[in-house]
Amino acid sequence: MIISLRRRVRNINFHRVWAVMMRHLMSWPRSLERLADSFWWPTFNLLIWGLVTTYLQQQAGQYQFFISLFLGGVIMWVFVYRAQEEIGVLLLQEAWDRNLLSMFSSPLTIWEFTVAAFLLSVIKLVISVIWMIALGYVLFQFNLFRYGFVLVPYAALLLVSGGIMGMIINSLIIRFGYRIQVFAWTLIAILQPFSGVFYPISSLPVWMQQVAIFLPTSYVFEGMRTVLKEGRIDYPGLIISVALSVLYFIFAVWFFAWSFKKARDSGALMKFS
Amino acid sequence: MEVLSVKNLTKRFGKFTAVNNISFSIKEGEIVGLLGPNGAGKTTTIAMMLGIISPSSGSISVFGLPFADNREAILKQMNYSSAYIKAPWRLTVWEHLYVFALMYEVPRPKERIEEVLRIFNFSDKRKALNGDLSSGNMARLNLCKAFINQPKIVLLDEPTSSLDPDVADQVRQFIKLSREKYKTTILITSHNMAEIEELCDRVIFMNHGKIIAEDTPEGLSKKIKKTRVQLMMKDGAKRTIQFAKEAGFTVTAKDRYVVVEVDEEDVAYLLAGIAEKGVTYDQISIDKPTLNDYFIEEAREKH
Repeated sequence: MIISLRRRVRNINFHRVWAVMMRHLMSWPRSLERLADSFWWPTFNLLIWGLVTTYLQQQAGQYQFFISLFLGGVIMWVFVYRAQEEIGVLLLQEAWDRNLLSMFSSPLTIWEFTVAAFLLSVIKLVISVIWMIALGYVLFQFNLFRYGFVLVPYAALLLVSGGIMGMIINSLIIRFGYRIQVFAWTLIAILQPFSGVFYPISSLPVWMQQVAIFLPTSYVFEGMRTVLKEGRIDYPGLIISVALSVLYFIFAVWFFAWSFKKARDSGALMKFS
Repeated sequence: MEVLSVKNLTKRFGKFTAVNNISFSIKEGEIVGLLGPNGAGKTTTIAMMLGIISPSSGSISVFGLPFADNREAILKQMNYSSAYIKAPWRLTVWEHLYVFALMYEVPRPKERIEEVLRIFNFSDKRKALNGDLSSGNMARLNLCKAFINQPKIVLLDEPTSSLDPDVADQVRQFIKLSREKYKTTILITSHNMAEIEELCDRVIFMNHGKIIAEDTPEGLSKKIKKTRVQLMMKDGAKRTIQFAKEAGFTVTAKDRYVVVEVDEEDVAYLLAGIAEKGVTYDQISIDKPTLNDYFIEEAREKH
């Protein structure tokens, strides 16, 4: 499987990856809903949580890290759900535009499409996050990078987690069609309560803590809190998160390849035309 | 030279066999019509030739290479257009073609886009949003996309179905020109039998997943022996119907018209017979069987 993965990566044609990126970058500024995904909802989340935590802080002065923890969580969660949504919705966008058959009857491979989706999600995410960091700083004087760039590896891991979820959701959409397209917006929400985005994992019920052990995102948010409270990286947690991410990434690649093969066997791709 | 070869191709979806052990080949520069009623297996066959559906068994070779092992290299020299596909509605015509020019690694893409826009008389729409195009212009855009990479093989699924007769004629002229100038090989499906007769060197007729006939359009038409004699009656409609029935011909009547279907050699017998009975008519048309007649007969017979 590793050899097959290496062969696929070697065969990726970046002209075609760039073509897919161009197609979406050119239509992005004309898509109000995609702009809302990039700016409106992240801004809205930041404002709501920022105002709530400011209020709580005023009511009980001892919670001095509330703003940092909540806003850190809000901004860092954007990495997961935007990466997932970008990859999931990108495929659906082609289906809604009835462009999927044109795309996949060209030399474009599903792997080139996925690489393009991932790169696009990084570009759009960076823009969203810069916007949110600037807004967090201007409105609440919250500086995510006050300890330098120690959160960058965590952010990268969250991006990969979002990408993995995006690939799994795409696999399901390819396999089962439009009837499960709602997963592209909703499935990621299942991860959030188990990931400890706004609270420590230790505050979860025991059964949820046991689930959290298997999620790379839970180590990232625990790590983020350590960075914000103590200004240091929790290396054991980071390593476990990396290992889990690699494991899930391999599974997601396999599941995606399997689903695409099944869709070609069943003719499911034709149903998107 | 054979550029496309399909051998014992079968596609099963569970217990349903959509394409049943078909074999055919197409030569360089040939225009071949793939005909058949809805559900005959044409679209599944085309989808297999594009790698969108995988065959249950059998093989497809293009330029002498097995498709399954050379997908990207083969598809770079092929293209596809269907009346059923659209284009991203937020992109302009030019942007859409640019994306596909990049995807097919077209050399000097901007020049090529201008060229295809000119060929399809579409240059004035270059800045129009795809979402604002009429269905005819969308079909034209799909054709521009289908020829953007100067393909050696083009699969066209009902390419002129939503075009007005003038544009449809321009498209047909371009298809002919493309074959003459670039030796482009074209596989075309259409429900416009006149178009198939005009364009195709050969027709493959499918029904229920099988190839039931393969011939020139004229050859298929000749398989229908009945000639249609249509009379606009002046006097004697009832006598004509009675004579036709007694002679064992199929006869239908509507308003002032009586239509009799006879073998070509019986036309003289029919006309002499009704003349003897004093029948008079204002107009007469004797229509030889067409591909359309063949299509209708095959489609109805096998149902």
